[in-house]
Amino acid sequence: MSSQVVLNSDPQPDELSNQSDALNTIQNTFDKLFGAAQVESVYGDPIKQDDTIVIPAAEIVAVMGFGIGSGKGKGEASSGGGGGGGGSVRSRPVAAIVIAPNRVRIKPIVDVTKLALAALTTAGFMIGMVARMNSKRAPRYE
Amino acid sequence: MTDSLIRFETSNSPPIIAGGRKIILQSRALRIRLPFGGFVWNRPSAVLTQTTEGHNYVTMVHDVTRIAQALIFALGFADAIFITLAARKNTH
Repeated sequence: MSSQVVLNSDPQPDELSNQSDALNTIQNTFDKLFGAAQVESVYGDPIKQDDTIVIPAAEIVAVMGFGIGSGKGKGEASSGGGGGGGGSVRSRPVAAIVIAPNRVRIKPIVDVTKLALAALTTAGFMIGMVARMNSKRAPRYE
Repeated sequence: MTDSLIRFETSNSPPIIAGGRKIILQSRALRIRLPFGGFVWNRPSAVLTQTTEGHNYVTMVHDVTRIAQALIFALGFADAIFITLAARKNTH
């Protein structure tokens, strides 16, 4: 796919040019972000071993945010603008698809660390709750 | 901007031919497009298999880690409710 850029012969103010550059950058970043919604980003390349094909599958979470602004000061010449943004893309393996000659199997990938953290958090919450209830019920000797 | 704010998309991969079967990988994505950012959550949802006889099979892809995590938190929450109710019963 090719694109053609036509430049206007009329001189444009720097401010407008900067804004258009910023908008283009944002649009490109948006396109890259929403590229994560395609099926190719979830499934990896098939790995062939003898008669078996293994395809890794992962979950993808992509987040992006930005802000731009401009303002004028008291004087004619005092004006400015700026912007910033940030984002993150996280990927986590979910399963491996095993295509054997006789059947298709899905082998789940279990994140033991994540489960251990969830169990510890829940246990901590439970212990804290019981301890708090016991301290409320215990008689005070003063 | 013609895109809607929140969109659920189901996409299929090009078919993979293996052992005379046609295999299509399916993914499901949630797209949220905001004026100041965006969010994409894409996950594998199913594997569609078409045999040479014309039978179609759908094998769902389950995220076992997430299911187990939800179960642990749900059990903790249910246990908390049970302890609170038991403690109230004992005090009265």
